[in-house]
Amino acid sequence: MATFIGTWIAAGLTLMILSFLYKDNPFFRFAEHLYVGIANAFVVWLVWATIVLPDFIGRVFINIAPDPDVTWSPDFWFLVPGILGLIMLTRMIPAIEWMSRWALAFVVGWGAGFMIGPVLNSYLLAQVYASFPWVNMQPYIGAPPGEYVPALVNAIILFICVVTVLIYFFFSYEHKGVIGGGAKIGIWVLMVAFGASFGSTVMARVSLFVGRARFLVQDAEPSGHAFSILLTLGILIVIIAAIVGRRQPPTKESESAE
Amino acid sequence: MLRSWERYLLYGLIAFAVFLPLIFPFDVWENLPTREVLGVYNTIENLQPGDTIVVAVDFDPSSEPELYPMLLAVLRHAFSKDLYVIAINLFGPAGTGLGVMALNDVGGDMGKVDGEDYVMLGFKPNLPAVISQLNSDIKEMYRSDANGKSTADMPILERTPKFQGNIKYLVDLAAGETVRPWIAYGSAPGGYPMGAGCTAVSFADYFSFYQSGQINGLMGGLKAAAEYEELIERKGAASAGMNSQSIVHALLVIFIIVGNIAFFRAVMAKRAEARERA
Repeated sequence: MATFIGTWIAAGLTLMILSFLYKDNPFFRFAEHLYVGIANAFVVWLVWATIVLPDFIGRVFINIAPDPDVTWSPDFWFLVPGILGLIMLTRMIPAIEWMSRWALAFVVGWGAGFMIGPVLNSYLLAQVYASFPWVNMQPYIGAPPGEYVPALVNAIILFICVVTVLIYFFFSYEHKGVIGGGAKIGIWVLMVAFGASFGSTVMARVSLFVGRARFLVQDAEPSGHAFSILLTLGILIVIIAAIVGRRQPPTKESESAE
Repeated sequence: MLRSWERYLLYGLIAFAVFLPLIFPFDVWENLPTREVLGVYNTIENLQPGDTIVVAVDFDPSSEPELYPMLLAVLRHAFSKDLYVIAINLFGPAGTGLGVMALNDVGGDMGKVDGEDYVMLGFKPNLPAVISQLNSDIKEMYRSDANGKSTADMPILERTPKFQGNIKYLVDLAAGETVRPWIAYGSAPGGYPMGAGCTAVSFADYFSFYQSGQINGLMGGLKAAAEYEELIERKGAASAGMNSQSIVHALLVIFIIVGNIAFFRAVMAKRAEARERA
């Protein structure tokens, strides 16, 4: 029963959010504020229950281990990150705000030392190495021409794209002559990349709508009448939103949305 | 500039295209697997029963429509091969529940036992530090799993006390930027192969890691999830969604063509008007 009610509340809220497609209205606002409030409260509780409690309080002050047979003793080393975390909050008190810099200094220092090596290796050197055609062609040595030739064309295109985009972002010389030509090709490469990203983004956004639509049609009600009921509810919400929306003067947000 | 009825017409057509295959299910076309998806599938397929893989559930409910079907498909495949699965979430606290739900649903269906055949470790902040620690000791980082059960005597973690040298594959299903740190601090120093699944938005960004060989497979968005479902011969939410997706894509192409025709007609009409005035 609880699942049934929960599912229908979710279905109703989905329709309220979708009513924004008509125009900004109180149903949409209600669902939006409810979502933000619940999401924040949920995350705060999760952080407390899964991080602060087991990894700070449970390690230093009290035994909260689920297994009572496991011996427990306080580990006072965990006080160090705990105190650093607490003094981060001093940013809210102007008189002692300076203390938060200690915690920040620790985070920045640790971050730089810990990350420089792996980041350089994985994000830069490995990527540069994989840009060279002779590296990319290694797996295709001895392959039949039907595989070798397309792979070679790909490898050369990839190399040209990398070099021309780098030239485009090279501002120490004026973009004229060979540099200018390379930069122009670089712009085209960037445009193609942005186009691919935009196409993927459209696909992702449609996927999200498909996910909600599937929930409304297939998950909302097991007996098979869900869609007709939801359609009626949706139409009702839009009609009421239209009536309420016409009574209220348009807000700046709704104007900009339209 | 669109008039309001034109806007509602476009919304209506998109809604019609999305709802139609969901209400009256039919296959638009087969989702043939791409080489990138096959990379993940073949790696799991070639593992031996008893091997352990890690599935990073690095997404939250906002990416659920794309990545949850992918998670279900990967778990079904892994459990059908009798692999042990260690799941983890380093993206945000809200993703842990999705991982628990998927493992319980699929694991329950396939007769697997929580704590023996699979475990969901849950969320910890500071991704690079956690990954580095997991490479050397899982239990020190996670004293209890996502359900609050002690990890001290958990059979799956007795077999796999650390990632390095013990796990055969890592699949990161990522809604954000977690693939990069998993490569830099997990896969590269730990020496285990890695594949990734991501939202369609991130696919182009992560493709360079596939091309460089740092990950051996890449699944992008709902389409890749549908391809994986096709490979394991169990169609689910992704295959159903791809029917809607395909029709919407065709519709969008028509919108773009019609929009461009309207635009150029308006431009030519303006020019003709200007010529008449001249």
